[in-house]
Order: sequence, then structure tokens, then C-alpha cells
Amino acid sequence: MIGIVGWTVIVGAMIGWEAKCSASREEKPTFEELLKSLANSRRGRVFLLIGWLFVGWHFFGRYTLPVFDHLRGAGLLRHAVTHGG
Amino acid sequence: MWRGLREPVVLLTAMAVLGYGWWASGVRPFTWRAQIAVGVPSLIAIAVVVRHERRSSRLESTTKLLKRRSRVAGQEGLLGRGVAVWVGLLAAFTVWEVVGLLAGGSSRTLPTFSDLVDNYLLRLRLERFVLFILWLWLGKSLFSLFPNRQRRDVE
Repeated sequence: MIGIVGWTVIVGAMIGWEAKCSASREEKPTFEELLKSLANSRRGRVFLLIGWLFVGWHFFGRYTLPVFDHLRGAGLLRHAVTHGG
Repeated sequence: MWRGLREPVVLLTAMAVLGYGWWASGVRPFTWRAQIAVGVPSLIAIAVVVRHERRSSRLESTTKLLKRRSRVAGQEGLLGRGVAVWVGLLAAFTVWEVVGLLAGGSSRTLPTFSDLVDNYLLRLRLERFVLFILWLWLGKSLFSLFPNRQRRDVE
């Protein structure tokens, strides 16, 4: 429960701050402007690419080595561990 | 936004992306198919970024000074505009994620962000489809933030 409250506060604060930055005429960067400034340098662009790749692999691919999945699926990994190869 | 869809190529591309997204949202994670589903857009993105970097490094030799000036000006402006709040929020996000991981992951009291997404946003195929398309769209949006790309869009 405490974890969900924490996430609600953090994500809510991000959304609130983004809304405030978008609405105000003061010099406060929105999240997009922040990313844009990151994209100004090559290092920043690489960072953005890695971040994007991480999100995709984390949520949809789970960056697991395919060979291990294959072995686990066929029960070969357990067999290999139990029988030493 | 919708005006572009009248172009046949754009419409076909959009349909292909949606079709791909639907297929990708149907494969189970931790399988070969899942690696391919995420691997194809990843490889395309890497190729696009590498191509962009090669082009921009060629352009850089001619517009090096201008670029450096605008970059420095942009950074100075941004530093004075409350980046600290974003850094603080992102730090809080990271700390809470680490706390969730230290709690063992998949904890009910202290779930990680991934646990919440898994449990509430990736259960149904339709949800996975929407998030997969969002991920692809995010990649495209990030690429449109790249400096030379912005200049070309303006032209």
C-alpha cells in the first residue's frame, strides 16, 4: 500500500510540475524541453536511445537471453543443472 | 495530425505499424518471438540514429561554431529555468524504484514501477497493444527532438 501511495505522489508531482511548466510563461522547462536539451549533445542522444531501448526490452522483451528461455521451455536447463550438462 | 494519413504511403505505414503492434502485443514475453518483436524496431532505431550521427558529424564540420554557440546558450538558459525540480523528481522516481527492488521485487507493499505496469497495464492484449504503439511513438518523438532533424522539419 505504501508503495502505491509513493508512486502516486511521485507520478502525480511529475504530472503537476509538467502542467505548471506548460501553463506558466516563466522560464521553466517542460519535460519535452528537458529531453530536447539532452538531444543537443551526442552523449545525450545516445542516452535517450538507450533509455528508449531499455523501456521496450524491459516491458515487452524482458531482455532475457533467448537461448536460456528455449532451454527452460524444453526443460533442458533443469536437466542440465541436475545432471551436470 | 490526421491530414498526413491521406497520403497512401503514410496510411500504409500506419497500418503496417498497427498490424505489427497487434502481432507484437500477442507474443509472450521471455520468448524468441518477443525478442524479435522488440528487436526489429530497436535495430531500426539504432540504424536511424547511427545514420543521423554520421550525417550530423558531416554537417558539424561546416556549422560547428554556430552549433556550439546555440548548444551553450540552450544549456545556460535551461539551467536557470528550474531543471533542479525535474532532477529531484527523477531522483525520487529512481530511489523509489530501488526501494522496491531492495524489497525483493514483486512486493505487494513496495512494488516497483515495472510491477505496477505489469499488473495493471500489461494484462490484456489491448493494453499491451496500446503501450507497444506508445513505445514506438515515443521513439519517433524522441528522434524528432534531435537537432538536425528539427532544422529539417522547419525547412
